Amino acid sequence: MAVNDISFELEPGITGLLGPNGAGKSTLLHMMAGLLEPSSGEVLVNGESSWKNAAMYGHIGLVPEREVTYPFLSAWEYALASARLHELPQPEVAAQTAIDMVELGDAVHRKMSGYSKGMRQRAKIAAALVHDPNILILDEPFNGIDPRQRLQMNTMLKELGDSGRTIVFSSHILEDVEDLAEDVLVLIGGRLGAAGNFRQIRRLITSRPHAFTIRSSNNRALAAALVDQPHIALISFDSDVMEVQTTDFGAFTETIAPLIQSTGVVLQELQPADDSLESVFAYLVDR
Amino acid sequence: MANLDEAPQSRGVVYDLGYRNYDGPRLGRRYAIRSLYVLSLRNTFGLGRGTLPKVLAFGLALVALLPAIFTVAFGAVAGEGFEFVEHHDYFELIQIVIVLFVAAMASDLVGNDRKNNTLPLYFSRPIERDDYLLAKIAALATALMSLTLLPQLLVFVGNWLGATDGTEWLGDNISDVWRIGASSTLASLQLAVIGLAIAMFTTRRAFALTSVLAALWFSVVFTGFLVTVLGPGWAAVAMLATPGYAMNAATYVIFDAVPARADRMGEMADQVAYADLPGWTWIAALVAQTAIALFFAIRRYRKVTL
Amino acid sequence: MNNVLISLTARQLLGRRRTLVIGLLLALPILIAVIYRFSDEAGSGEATGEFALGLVSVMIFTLLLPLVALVFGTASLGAEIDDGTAVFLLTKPIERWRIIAIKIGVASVAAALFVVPTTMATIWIIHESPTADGLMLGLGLGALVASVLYCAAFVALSAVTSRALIFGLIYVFVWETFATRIFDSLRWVSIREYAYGWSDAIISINDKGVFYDPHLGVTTAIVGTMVVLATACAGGTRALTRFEIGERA
Repeated sequence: MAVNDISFELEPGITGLLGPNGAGKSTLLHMMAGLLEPSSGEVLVNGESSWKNAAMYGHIGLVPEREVTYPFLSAWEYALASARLHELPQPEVAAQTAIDMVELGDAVHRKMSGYSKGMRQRAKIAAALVHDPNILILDEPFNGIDPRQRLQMNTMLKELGDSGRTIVFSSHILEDVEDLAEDVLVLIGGRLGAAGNFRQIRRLITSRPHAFTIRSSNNRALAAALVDQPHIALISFDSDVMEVQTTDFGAFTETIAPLIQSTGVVLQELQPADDSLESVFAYLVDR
Repeated sequence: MANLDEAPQSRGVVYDLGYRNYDGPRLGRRYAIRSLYVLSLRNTFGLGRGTLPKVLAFGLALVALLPAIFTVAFGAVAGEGFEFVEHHDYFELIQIVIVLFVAAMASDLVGNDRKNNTLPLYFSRPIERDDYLLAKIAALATALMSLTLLPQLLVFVGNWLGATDGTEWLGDNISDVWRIGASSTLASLQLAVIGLAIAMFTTRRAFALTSVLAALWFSVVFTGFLVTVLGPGWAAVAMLATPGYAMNAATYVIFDAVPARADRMGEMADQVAYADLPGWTWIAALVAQTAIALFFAIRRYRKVTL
Repeated sequence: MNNVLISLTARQLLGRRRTLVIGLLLALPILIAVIYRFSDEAGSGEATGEFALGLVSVMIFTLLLPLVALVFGTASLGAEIDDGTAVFLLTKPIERWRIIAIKIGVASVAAALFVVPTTMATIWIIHESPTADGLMLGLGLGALVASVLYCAAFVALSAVTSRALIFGLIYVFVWETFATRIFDSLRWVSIREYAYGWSDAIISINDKGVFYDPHLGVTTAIVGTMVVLATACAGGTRALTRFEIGERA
């Protein structure tokens, strides 16, 4: 995907790169990481061009979306290899510190070929952190990890961001970015759709109600409980599926689980009906 | 509550995100197979892909044509009777080129689909697993015809144009046309099936390439040496089991050109004569090799995980 | 740092399946040598030397050696690029020439470890007096040189294109095997000829046969060797410096 006419500066702290699939997020991140040459313009990292600049990698860490792990290594060996390739004075210490941050537990000494996607993701992050880079670039770090790992990752990235590092991560999920990033860059079709403080941008789009589809053992009983919630805007039924619209995404996600429990209904499926970010972006772009 | 029951239909419109059902005609399985065949054939020649695949495919095809072009060019100058290469020798001369083509294309044709995980996409269409295989084999065999049939026809036309009496020459040599057709078809099918059958067992292009090359080319060199140290019986077994030998020997048989001189230290044709087998055995060997490879390929694709 | 790079490359190269397949392929010339030795057809004296020379030049030098070097050479760097692990190496502050040099070095050593003993063993089994005419030592040296040069060329090629294997095969089988036979002067640009040039400095037999037919003197061979190595290192480094992700899906 080509990216066009993009100009921005990143400050220390966490920046989210948001955009639908194919918007050019990876292209942009790879340019930052010196793995793609911009056909015009320049990417400067700490004031130096990122293209054909191997020395730059002493200051940045990249966690690519693609598989970059050696299946025959364990996460520990992988992090250690990374530390040695960075020629760190105490590779073992550096590797241990990085490994401790990602909480891989007993798995650190198992071969990565047997890892789940989330575990590999954390091994990649550990390897990218060994040299304590002041810039960390993560491409779709939330892909394929479970909610608990997501929470850990959030905490970890927040800590790293709070310690004055510059962190950029991409995601096509609005909520990932919402949880973490102070600032966002919204990329649509290779162009910068919006940039700036997340809350400001978010406010512009919260007027759009969120919709969820629910499948349960007793939709109507659940609906009866739901109507009492102030943030529920609309409930509709379609054979065995129920669609619910809420004006407050946060309140909905917080209250739905205890609510279902209190009604005694068995939940079979709950998923966002309009996770299509395109509509959000379309809204942003038309603005 | 009764009102709510009627509600869904009337409210459905509100949530319409623009997805629509396809209600046009459905073209069915045969059309799907044909599409996959055309797509695979185009891919073989790099059409719809980058420059490199095009250079590779057309470059190899051109090298395979060179002897035929020489024949036609020199034939035009030297007149009737000049033969740079004869029909029954043609495949042996360009064998390495054909094998490289098969190796490169077979590993691409089946390897890319597995590497890019496009198989689920195909198998969720009205394409059965056998159909997929069939389309790929047909595509590769068709592509191979441009390295087997095309140069042979060129030699034929070249010789015809070079003849002093075109009509008489045509009358004498018209039977070569079916020989050319039969030998090219048999060779193309055999190579396509064996190449694909081997390439299917790995997703790694490098492994696929090497294995196909080993099965179709190294085996020829190895058997060539093996025959020099074996008696006629074992030599015959070794040659019958080698795809390259079966293909060339079948071509000699089809053109009725198995040499009389039997020499196990000699050229491939002499070695074939050394085995001293009836002509049909070679064609049977070629068909049997193709069938065995097809059997394994089908079995493989019935079990392949998506 | 060098050690890590070397051990990563070596562990990746010497995967079980790759080692097994190459081992099996290299057993073939030895198998023929053994059959020859015990068959009634086994000649004596000079005839054994001729057969050894023919077998080694056809099966090893024009077939298995370039193939083994091609497999190791392209796997050394090309497989990392294919698998994406190259990104792991390239996002480290390592000079690019060092990566290329180590990749070439490890691939060469691996290829030579397989090919040189096979070459010498095949000659030793067939030849009645393998040391008398320098065949075993000469072709052993040739195999060593060829392993290094092919690996260097193919590592560099895989930095340039993702289709290094097929283009390498075309170079070996179409250029070196066919084109050089039709046009003699093309032998000036042939790794096999450079390797044979080194061998020929040691081998002292007169009748060299059809397949082993060295055209270049040892000086030319040495110059050619240097040129191949220098070009491979420089070209590979240049390509790796400009490596762009994702362009070769």
